[in-house]
Amino acid sequence: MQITRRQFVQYVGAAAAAMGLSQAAVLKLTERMAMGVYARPTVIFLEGQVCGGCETSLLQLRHNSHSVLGAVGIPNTLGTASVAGLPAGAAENNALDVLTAIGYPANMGDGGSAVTIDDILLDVLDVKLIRIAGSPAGDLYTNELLKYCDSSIIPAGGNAAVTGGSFGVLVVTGSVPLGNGDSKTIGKNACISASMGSTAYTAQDLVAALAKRAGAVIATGTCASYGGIPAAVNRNYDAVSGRYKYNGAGTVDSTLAGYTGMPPVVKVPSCPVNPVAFYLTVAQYIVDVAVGGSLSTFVARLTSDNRLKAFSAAGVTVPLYSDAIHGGRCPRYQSYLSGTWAAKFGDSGCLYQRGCQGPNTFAPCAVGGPTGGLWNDFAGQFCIKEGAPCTGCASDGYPDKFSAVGGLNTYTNNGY
Amino acid sequence: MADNPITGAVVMDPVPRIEGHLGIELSFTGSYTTGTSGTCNNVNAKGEMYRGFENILKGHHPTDALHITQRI
Ligand code: SF4
Ligand code: SF4
Repeated sequence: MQITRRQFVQYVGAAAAAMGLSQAAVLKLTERMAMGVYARPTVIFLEGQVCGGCETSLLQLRHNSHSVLGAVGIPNTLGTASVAGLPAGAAENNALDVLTAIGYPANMGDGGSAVTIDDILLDVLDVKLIRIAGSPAGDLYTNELLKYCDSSIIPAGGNAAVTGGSFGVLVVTGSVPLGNGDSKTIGKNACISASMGSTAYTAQDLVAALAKRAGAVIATGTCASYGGIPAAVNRNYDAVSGRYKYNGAGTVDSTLAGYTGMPPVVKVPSCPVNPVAFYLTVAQYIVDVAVGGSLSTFVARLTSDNRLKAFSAAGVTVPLYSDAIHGGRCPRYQSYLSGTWAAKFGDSGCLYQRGCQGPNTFAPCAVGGPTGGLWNDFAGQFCIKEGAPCTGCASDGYPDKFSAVGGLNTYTNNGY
Repeated sequence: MADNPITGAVVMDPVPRIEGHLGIELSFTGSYTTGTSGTCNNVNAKGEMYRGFENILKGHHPTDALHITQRI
C-alpha cells in the first residue's frame, strides 16, 4: 500500500501522541524517520532500587551555554556551522555537537535554543522503553520488555512474549537486590520491576536477561554502579561484620557476575548521575561501537573499574573519571595550597576541614575548572563551588565510607 | 480490550510516569465485559520496591541522615 507523505505524518503524529510526545517532537520524529540516516542504537532503561534522582537528572539535560562544555575544551564554534536551520552562532555548543561533527544528523536541536532530552531520545538514540517518561503500562510495558530478554534467563511461556532480540544498550538505574534472601536480607524480591498476570519479574532477573542481549550495559548512578544508598548498612546490627543489608542491594556488576557471555558494564557513578557524563559515555559508545564497530576500542578507554576515563572524539577530549576532584580544577584549590580553611559552613576557603571528600573522589564535577563545570544548567555549579564539601557520592562505598561514624568524614559535625 | 471479557483480577504493573515502583491490582466478582455491567470489589495499590531507609539510618551519625534521606 502506498501512503502519501501527509498520511505518513498523520500516522506518525497519532503514534507519537500516544507516546506522549509534543507537536515539536512529532515534527522532529517525522524528519528523523524520513531521513533514516543512521542506525541509532536501541536503548532500554530499567529501574532497580531507585530514588528517581538519576532519571530525573538525565531528563533534565538542557544546556545551551558556551561556558559549559566550551570550558572543558569543546570549541565554541563546533557544530554551530553545520547545524542547518539555526541562526549563525547559535549556542548549540555541547556534547551533541560532537556527534554532529562526526557525522550525525546536522539538524539536531530544536531551532537554535537548546538541546534537550528529546533530542537525545529521538535523534541520537532509539529509546524503546523508559518507564519514568514513557506511557506503556502494565502488560503492554512488560510484554515489550520481555521481547528483549534472553530466554535462557527468563523463559518464554505463559503470557511472556520472549523473542530474544538483540539490542544496543541497557541502561540500569538503581541498585539490584540479589538472591533469595535469608533471615537478614529480603533478596531479589525487594525490587519487582515488571509483572505479567501473576508472574512478577524481579530487577535481578530482568537485568540479567536484558544484559545478555545488549551490546553494552551502562550502570547509571552510584546505586547501579556500587550499591549506593540502598546498600548502606544499619550500623546497629552487627559490630563484628558491620554489614547488614536489609534489602540485599547489589550492583549491576554483581548481578551479572554468575553468568558467562555478558557484555561490558560501564559505570557512570555519582548521586544523582551527571547527565553530561552519561551522554558523553553514550556518545563514546556510538563513536566507537555504532560507528567504529569496535567494542574493544571502547573498552580500552575505561578505568580498571569500568568508568570512562575521558570522552574523546572529533579532536575533543573531555576528562571524566580519570582524576580526583581535588586538584587544579577545584575552585577552592588555591585556598588549599595556601592553607586558608573554611572554619564553618558558609566560609570561603578550602573545605577540607569541613570534611571535603574531593581528594578521595574521582568524578567529573570540577571538570571545566573554576569557571566551568559539567553540571549543566547550573552554569557549572556543583557542591564545592556552592560551599558544600564533597560527600564522595561518586565513590564505591558511599555513603558509609564517608560517614561521620566509622567513615572517612571526621569533620562533618564540626562547624555548625 | 473491546471484546475481551475480564474476570477475576486485573493487574497493571508497572504504572509508568511516576517515580517509584507502583502496581495496581483490581479484582472483580463475576465477569466484566466492556459495555455490560460488572462489579469491581477490590483495588490494591502496591509499592514493589523496598530499600529500608529507617533501618539504614539506625546507628548512623545524625549528619549522615542529611545525605541518606535526600535519596528517598
Ligand atoms: S544513585 Fe543517587 S540519585 Fe541515583 S537512584 Fe541512587 S540514590 Fe537516587
Ligand atoms: S575544597 Fe575539597 S576538593 Fe577543593 S581543594 Fe579543598 S579539599 Fe580539595
